[in-house]
Amino acid sequence: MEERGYMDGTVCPVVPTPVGTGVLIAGGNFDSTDHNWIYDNWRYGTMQFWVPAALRDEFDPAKQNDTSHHNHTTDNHMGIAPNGELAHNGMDHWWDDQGDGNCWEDNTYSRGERTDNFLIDPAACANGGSSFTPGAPVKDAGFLSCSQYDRNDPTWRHPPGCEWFDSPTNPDESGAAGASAQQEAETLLAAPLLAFTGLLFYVGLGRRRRVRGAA
Amino acid sequence: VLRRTVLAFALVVALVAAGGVAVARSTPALRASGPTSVTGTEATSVFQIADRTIRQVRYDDRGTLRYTFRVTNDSRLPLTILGIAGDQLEPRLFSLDGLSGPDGSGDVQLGAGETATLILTLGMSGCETLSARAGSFVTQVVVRTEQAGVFDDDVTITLPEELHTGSPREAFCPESTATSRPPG
Repeated sequence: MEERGYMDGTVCPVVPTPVGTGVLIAGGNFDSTDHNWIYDNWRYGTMQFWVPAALRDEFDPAKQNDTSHHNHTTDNHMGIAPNGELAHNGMDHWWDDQGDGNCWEDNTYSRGERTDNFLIDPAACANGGSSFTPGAPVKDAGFLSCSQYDRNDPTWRHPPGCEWFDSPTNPDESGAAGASAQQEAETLLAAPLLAFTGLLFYVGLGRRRRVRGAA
Repeated sequence: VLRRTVLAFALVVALVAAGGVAVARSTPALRASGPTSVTGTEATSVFQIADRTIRQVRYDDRGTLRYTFRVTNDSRLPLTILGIAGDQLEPRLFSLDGLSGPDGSGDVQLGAGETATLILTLGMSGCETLSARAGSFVTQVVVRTEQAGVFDDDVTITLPEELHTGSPREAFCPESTATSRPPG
């Protein structure tokens, strides 16, 4: 512990995880996340996605979709601190729509209703929860790119295409997942550049019009 | 007057020829496709995550992986693929060791629109300093090309699958020690 600096404060994680996420179920089955206070997570309150078995060196074709199934997220306070104060999560629940028997119900939400990215709302837990679908084609949880993380290597400390390590911005009432601080900085930088480019374009058009008009 | 006319005509011909070469000659475009196959690993499978196609291979420390795929020359001119360029992103668990035709020849000639088989040779090493839950990708390779024996270009080929391997547990990483890799 002492050698690794744990006692001195924050230590860089070895296993890559998305910054600002309260509960992460990555390729888990039969997990119950219940009766928790999950709040002030600027990316997601809970995040759940499947992981192909080949990634854990299981190559049997019959087992490739063996996650994530029968995970229940129930009776939690989402975006609400134990003292009652509201501290929104960026998005309450992120899920890749994959798996059998998954359900989210009887949770209390800081915005009055849950914020999620579900394409199809799963059935109630008592009715068996979700039905299996392959992972939604538009949903890349990001773990593949981020799995290249190596804290000892300057290049791979922040792998290309991995957004997990960018700090999200503080979420607001709207429930929009916070853009990363880095993305926000890029936007701030890009805005004046775009405006300047637009100005150049406008000036260029004006000049061209004048030339045409003169011809 | 005749001399001037001939000179002007020659100039026009030269300009047209140069323009033609300039139009025909552009940065080569190479497109990779299947079928694909690998040797040098005990296990492999292909799966989809979102819109990504992943070719997972079992890591074999100090082993050599050979990944076979097809490449098409989408340029207007014939070209020769001379091998791997020097400037590449270096994955943690793979080294890009070579590129050849199916007969092992280093130079692969491709006419305009032609397709050929390429074999990408990769070394697998480095697990002793990488956490067991981490992995490495090779998604593209930069190759050196030559057109008409004159024009040299480095061209990026995006592989038809994202080649991925994972850092194995200690039992399958013989060079690892108790302190050589980050805990995880």
